[in-house]
Amino acid sequence: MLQSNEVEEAIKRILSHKGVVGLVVINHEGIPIKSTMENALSVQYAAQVTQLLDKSRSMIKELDSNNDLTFIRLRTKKHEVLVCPEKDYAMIVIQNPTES
Amino acid sequence: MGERERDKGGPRNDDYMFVEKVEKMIDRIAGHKGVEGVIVCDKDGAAIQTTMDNTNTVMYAEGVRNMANIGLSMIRDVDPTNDLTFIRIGTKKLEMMAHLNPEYCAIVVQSRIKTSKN
Repeated sequence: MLQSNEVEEAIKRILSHKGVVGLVVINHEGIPIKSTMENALSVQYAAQVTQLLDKSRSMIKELDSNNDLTFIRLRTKKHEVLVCPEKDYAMIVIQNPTES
Repeated sequence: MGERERDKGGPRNDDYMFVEKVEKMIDRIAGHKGVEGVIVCDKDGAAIQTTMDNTNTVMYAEGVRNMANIGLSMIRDVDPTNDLTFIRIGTKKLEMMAHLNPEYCAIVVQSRIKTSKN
């Protein structure tokens, strides 16, 4: 089990990456338990991502019942949204992809 | 007058060259290690070009497009002026990538390459 300071360290490390705009950790109910962005936006992302995860998971199971979702990466015109689901939690990171 | 006569002659040379270019690109991607298939479909989900068999093509095209549509509505709900251009879905066994365009969708399905753990 990770200690809370280890969690804080991991979050700090992610935030220190160039281009990272924000980070939200949500629980299995879709409620943000940790966020670096303002509340309204965190809740909005949390709700949308929970829906996306539920539907993606069921679609993947339909394609192959032995398979399971490990990550989703959405690139948009303005930024990139990275979603990493685990058993009880999910982490959402929003970043500006670095221009090559 | 000269142009009209030329138009009656059927598909232009440019069209053939374009299709050849696209096919070369698809072959190049499909030749990469781990790539299971490349699918190009139109906005209705009908496959235009594919390197996979029919069953898999329909299965992956539909699955990826559905997930892309959900992703798109998620992005638009947060910011209506934004648009989804690329989606990458990783699973235990596979990775599905799709580049989205109002008219077309290019999907690549590849198996996860195992890296040695430290």
